Amino acid sequence: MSSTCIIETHELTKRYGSFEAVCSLNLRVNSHRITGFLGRNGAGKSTTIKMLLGMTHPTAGAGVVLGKSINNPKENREMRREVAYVGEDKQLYAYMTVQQLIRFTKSFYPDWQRDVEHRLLQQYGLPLDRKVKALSKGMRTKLALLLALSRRPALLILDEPSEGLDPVSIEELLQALIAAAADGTTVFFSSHQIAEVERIAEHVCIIDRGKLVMDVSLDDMRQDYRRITLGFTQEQPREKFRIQGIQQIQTSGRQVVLLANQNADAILELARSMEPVSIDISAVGLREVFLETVKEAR
Amino acid sequence: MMLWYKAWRESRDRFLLSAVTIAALCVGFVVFHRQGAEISDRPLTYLEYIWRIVYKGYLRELFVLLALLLGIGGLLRERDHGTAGFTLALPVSRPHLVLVRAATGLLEIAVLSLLPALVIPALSPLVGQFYPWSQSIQFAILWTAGGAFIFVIGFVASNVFGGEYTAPIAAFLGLLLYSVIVDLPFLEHYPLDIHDMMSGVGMPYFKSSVATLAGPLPWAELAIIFLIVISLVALAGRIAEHQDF
Amino acid sequence: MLWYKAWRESRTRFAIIASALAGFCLFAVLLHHQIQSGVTNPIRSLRGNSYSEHIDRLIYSGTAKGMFALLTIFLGLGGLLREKRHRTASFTLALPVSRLRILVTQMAVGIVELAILSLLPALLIPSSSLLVHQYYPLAEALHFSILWFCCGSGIFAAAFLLSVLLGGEYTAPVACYVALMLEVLISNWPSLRPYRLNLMWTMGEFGTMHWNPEHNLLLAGPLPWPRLLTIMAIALCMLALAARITQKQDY
Repeated sequence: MSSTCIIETHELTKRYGSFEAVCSLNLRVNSHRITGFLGRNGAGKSTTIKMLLGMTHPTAGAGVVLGKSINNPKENREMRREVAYVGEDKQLYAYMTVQQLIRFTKSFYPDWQRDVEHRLLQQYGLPLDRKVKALSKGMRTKLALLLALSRRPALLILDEPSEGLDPVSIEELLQALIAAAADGTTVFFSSHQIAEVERIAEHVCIIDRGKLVMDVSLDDMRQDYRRITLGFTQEQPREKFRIQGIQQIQTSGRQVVLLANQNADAILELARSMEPVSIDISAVGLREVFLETVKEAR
Repeated sequence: MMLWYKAWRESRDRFLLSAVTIAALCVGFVVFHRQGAEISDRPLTYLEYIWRIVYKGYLRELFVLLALLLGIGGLLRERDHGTAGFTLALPVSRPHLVLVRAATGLLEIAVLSLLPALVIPALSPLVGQFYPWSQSIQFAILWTAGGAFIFVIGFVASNVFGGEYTAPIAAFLGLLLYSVIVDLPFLEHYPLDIHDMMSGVGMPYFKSSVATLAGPLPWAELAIIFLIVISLVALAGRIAEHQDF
Repeated sequence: MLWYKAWRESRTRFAIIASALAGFCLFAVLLHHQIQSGVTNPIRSLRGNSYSEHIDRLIYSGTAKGMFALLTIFLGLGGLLREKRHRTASFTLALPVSRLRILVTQMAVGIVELAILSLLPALLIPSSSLLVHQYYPLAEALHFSILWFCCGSGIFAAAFLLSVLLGGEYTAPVACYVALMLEVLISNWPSLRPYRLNLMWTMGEFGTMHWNPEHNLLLAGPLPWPRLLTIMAIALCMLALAARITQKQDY
């Protein structure tokens, strides 16, 4: 499947008074893949998602989702026909029963997939006659997923979908997202749970303090990011290691730890020229990259 | 269609409580009309009694407050309940959401206005009395217009103020301010008081000596009220469109 | 800090109601000349259109009284059932305090706010009257403050009880309005009228006011203590019932 840009923002900004929740965000999300939107609490993930869906108006900048402008209410409404959204706290109309809520949601989407609805109903074991307010958070998440997936949306946006769920429910949720992506749905989900992003996402965007600090494919990251640990007979000045591709330098006595995000061969060559007593090269996980990136952005 | 269902479900409890109360009070007023008529210092005809207790007195005051509270709700309340995200992710525009909620509320107001018109003339023969259908239907029309105006005050307030109790308090104070302003000496002579319009007090179409609507209904004024209501609903839609959720 | 919590939860409501009530009192006093000179309706001008009568007509048995009674309902709303809807009930109930204490604090804060609201006209009207070269006796204003406080307690307690019973949003205020209307209606019924159970009548001393010998001041008779104590006792029972129901509710 060819991949096209499905979400694109240009200098997207949201200010609340003097506080800048999202600053000049240039985000690109490609279709037919799972993209994780990673960031700490309060980094601006939810605000960005709300702006993409037209719930919050940008202070500045623009954005396009599925070719429709997020700033134009009419286009935004058209876009929402093809986009499904599962909110952070999964609050649904408490006064409706599961069945009533399914009937309610179904009425807005002519291409509602009855077979998907029945399959997920059975799979999740949702009680049709129970009121939404009597459902557990896990059940509510499943119901929200059912409502989202039964439409076969082109894009599924989830805001912290695993928040407050038990491990079994998280596993079911992740499986559902993988299955949706396999069916051709683009999945864009925000999270601060690195393990789940690393497990299912193909691409990761990291946001910190409203700014996009990393936009990388996980495969590229696994291939390019390296931790190089060098041992020397005497202390080395940090400046000697400042070359292209070094994202971070940590020195501890006679040991130097370099985090390289590209150009690993040239870095190794430089390191060897300094005649270290030991060289250790290891692959880097998303957790380390995230922590280093966020720390560095501070 | 399902948006109507949602709007109905959200106001159903309030509406049913209001409808049952209004209907029950109408039944009570008719059944106990002999005792009720003693509220006055002088003997009252049945027409006068019904007008004093229903169309001018208790029931109208209750109707006004209930209409105001029926207007409360909407997207700002949904934001508090955490369901605004789900609603706003539906492929419908915010003005559409506002419009459906307003239309549902206005229909409920019309039903509440019609209740006395149905109950009183129908029950009166059972207690050996007569109340003309034409009178009660005309009052129902006046109440629908007045109720719509009062409803829309609550409606706009709840689109502006997010707090659970701030909106109804603001709506109530808005109504009070309106009532005080139209009662000011230099405005008192203009037909601006919605309460008087609903009861007929001091209006050319009301004959106070027999407590009946005698002249043609003020259609032009009623049309203006509906125009104001529509404008305020449109304003609420516009406000909702610019809000962040 | 429970007091602080109860105050923060009702602060906005209280401030709006207090401002509105104060604003209306000042409006009635400072613009009395314009309002009084514009009264042409003979029903509204009973005896000579005096300042005392004007205050009674607008404040103590008129618009301000109705405003106070209806807005008092909002002071009584809230509580744990509303907290449940806002998903904060579990946090509150996890605090090492009994439900009774949480509730009593809310009631106490509400009652203090009610007392302040009842006193507002008494503080504002006699003092601001001097600014427009008029006189309204402080004793008379305080007399009405006591009436407003006692009757307001009854309305407050009814709202408190209904918001414990009815969880639906705005169902409690609707039910309370209906209950207040029914109270007024039933107590006004000819066979019950001699007992003067009507809260609104009691608040406004309806039908019991008399003129002073100079015929320029409308004065109330002695305070109807037995009736006021009965209202307070009923209010207390309603609050106790609310506490009892809350103890048994699941959150």
